[in-house]
Amino acid sequence: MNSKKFSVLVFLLCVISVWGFGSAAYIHAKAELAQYLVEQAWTAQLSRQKNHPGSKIEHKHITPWPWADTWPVAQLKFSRQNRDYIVLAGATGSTLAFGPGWMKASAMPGSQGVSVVAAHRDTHFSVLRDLRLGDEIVINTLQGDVVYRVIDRTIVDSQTHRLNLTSSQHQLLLVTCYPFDAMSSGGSLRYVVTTEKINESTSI
Amino acid sequence: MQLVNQRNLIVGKSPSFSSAKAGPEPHTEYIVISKSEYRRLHILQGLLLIVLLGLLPGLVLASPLPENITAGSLFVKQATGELQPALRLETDVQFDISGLLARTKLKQHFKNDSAEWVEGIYVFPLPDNAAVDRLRIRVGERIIEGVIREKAAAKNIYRTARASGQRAALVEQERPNMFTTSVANIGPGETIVVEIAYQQLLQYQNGRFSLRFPMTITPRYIPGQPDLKQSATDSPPQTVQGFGWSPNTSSVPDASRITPPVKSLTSREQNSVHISARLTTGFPLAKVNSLYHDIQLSRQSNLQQNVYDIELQQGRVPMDRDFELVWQAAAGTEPNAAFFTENINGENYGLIMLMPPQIDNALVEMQKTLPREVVFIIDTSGSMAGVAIRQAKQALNMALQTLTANDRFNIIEFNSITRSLFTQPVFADSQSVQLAMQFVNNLQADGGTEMAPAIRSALETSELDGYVRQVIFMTDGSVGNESELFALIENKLANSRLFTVGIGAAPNSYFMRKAAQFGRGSYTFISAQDEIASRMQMLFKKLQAPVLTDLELVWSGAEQPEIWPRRLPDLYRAQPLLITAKLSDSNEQLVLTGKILGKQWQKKLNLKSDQNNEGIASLWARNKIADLMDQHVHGGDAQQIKQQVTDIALQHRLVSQYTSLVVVDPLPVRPADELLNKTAVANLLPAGSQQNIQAYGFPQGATMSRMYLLLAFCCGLLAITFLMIKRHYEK
Repeated sequence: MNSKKFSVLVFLLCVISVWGFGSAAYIHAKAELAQYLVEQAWTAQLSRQKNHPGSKIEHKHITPWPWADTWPVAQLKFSRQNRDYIVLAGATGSTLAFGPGWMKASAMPGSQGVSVVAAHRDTHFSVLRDLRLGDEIVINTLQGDVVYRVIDRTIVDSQTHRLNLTSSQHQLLLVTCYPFDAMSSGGSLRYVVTTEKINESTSI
Repeated sequence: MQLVNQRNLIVGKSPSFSSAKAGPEPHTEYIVISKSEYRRLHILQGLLLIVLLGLLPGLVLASPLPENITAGSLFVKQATGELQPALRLETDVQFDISGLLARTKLKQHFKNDSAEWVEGIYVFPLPDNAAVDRLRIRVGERIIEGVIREKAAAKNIYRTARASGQRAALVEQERPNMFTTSVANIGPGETIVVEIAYQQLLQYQNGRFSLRFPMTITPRYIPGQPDLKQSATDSPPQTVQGFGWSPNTSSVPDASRITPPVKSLTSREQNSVHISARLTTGFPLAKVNSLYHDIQLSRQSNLQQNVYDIELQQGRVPMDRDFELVWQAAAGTEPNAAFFTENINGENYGLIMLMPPQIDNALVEMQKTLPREVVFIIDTSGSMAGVAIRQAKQALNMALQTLTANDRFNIIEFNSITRSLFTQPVFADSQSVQLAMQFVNNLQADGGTEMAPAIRSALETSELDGYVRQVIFMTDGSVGNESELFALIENKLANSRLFTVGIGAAPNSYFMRKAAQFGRGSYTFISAQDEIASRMQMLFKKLQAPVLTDLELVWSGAEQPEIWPRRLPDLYRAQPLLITAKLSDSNEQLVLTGKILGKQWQKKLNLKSDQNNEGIASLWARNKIADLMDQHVHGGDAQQIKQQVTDIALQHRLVSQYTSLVVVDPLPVRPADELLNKTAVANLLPAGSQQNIQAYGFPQGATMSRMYLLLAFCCGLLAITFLMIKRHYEK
């Protein structure tokens, strides 16, 4: 191989390498940075709730940035892991890039019924890997805090199973892709953590 | 070693790999990583590792990792390095359009690229008024013709042939617009061509004819509770029963049969189609165009008739959207009455098209003074995600602007839950319209498609006297419980009228047409950005013009003909009456009467034709079957309906809910000791859709970040290694 071709090859490899690192960094940066903006929106929403209790301005959500098509609905705290995230409305691909998303088809987080929150296994929900049975999870909503306890962890094939949202139990399901270490996205396996409400404490 | 883990995972997930032998053709190889190779990879280090790492980026980029591998699907690695399912499908479609009819020949090429024997299952869409009357298979040069049989009997014939190693094909109807082809015993490296033909009535409105051909199925939402026991006994591969991603449920007992696997556009080269058409009209054309594909048009030098040949410009295209061909008669030559007949076995069948008289402007103005109450229903379920919801929002915003301050309106959105903008319809003053537009702009498509509560809430709102009540329903209609919803519409309709607007690249046409029929309204489709304005405009004109009601037909002659549809619909602006009839010789003249805003009108037509038009009898039988099936909704006796439909379908060789076409090659080809692999052909996700397909019901939970990192890491390492080697030699 002559020296010129060799240099081109090495250069190309470097370009691909930089592009790869860049793309990965972009995904993680977006996931981290968005949470700051989302947190601001959430704080604004909380303070509005405090100042105007009982007001029901349903269509005026505070969005994290002006053109966002999503808004914060709750705060999710993993007590033992000391991690917390703001949950956004909608579990679509565009929302999950910024934070855990609440599947709008399910019950509101913190309310009666089955509520589903999903996130990417390699960004926000990498934390699910460390969740153990009995771990506590706190959902902070506009109405106050609700504490859940992990009662089950399962791996399901999304091609053969469906979520059962009709149960009347007060549950919160945390969903992410499985296996945690898989390289590509788009697999059919899901890691589902089932948690159940234990008691209600008043707003802090 | 991430790489080996990944490849090992493929081996683990697909049992067929481990048993696969090397293929007979040199260019075909199976990916088999044995344990010993695995170990050797660990032992050989240094240069080997470098070479391996060098190959890796290529592998990662060239082959999108097989996302859809499930037990039972067989994959083949091509020389190009791509993973492909063992069974590939290519389709050829040929339309022969004449007058108001189209005869379509569909050729499905099932290509088996593997070294095993394969059974192919393909669930595919057809126009909802297709009368499927022909099936044959082509193996090499030989052609074998199919027969029509009662559904269970046809399935038995197919199963027996499959078990004894004979080539066989079966075409069954799942919905009037959804069919399943099963092909048994496709040999290694062999192609079996399944040829299907059907007859169809064209759309004619506003002087504009159109033919719509669907090519993929938007994944249907399946409501109800899963029936696990049933789906367990029906599970593949023992039976021809469902191969879909949904178990059967209480609301959709055949869900597993109507939910075929879906693949995304990354596997785009599969499921390609070639389309050609010959258009013969009795009148000069102003224009011919195809709405979602580029076409080439050539005019025949035949002076007698207006004959055009149409081909797609790109040759083969992916089957990810509907094809629609539209042509318009030159101004002043629009046909406003037509009569075609066919004589079969001494029976005389007729097709009659009659355009009601023009509505004069005075009546239109009169209608406009009547205040309206308009309820918009907008589907915000997951299948609308992407282009569809944006188009629906735009169309809805356009509709809001046409409301006058005298009109009342409301908006209902639904996915898994139903939410309405106002608790009661309100006057369309500027403030409430402003509020409505804000509401519309904030809508997002996500979740399930629970239609029933939305329909109920739209039709049940208390009614005010003196208002014309119209419900405009924007949806892709991708639900599996159609008949349940039709019954609901029929029961709750009262004085409201329901208009469906089909949104998306592949809407469920059966739902659109039937919902509008039971809702006594009309239907329209919006599948592209540039047709939103024109289609909505057409709909507004329809909504504002008075309706022709109380249609009645008076026939000359002693015998009354048997006509289908039996109940004549109300006619909207520029909409012709289209009926099929079994006639007697004495039926020489026909008078159509009706009312418009309480005024009587009538129109005469002489029934004379010396031409014999093939296919009219099939259309008549198809209309009769559709009418009989509607009686399920009206509460007819199921057993009796089944008997009547079976009789008429067998007589006219038509595929129906209760009859199927089956064909068997008498020669057995598969040796008794070779196994048969069952493979489902996936449908492409509709163009522009952002629905999450692999994980229906489950959100997606991963990004590509790890893949990027791996790629970056490997390339970086490789670059450093090369540089080090170079430095070493330079020393």
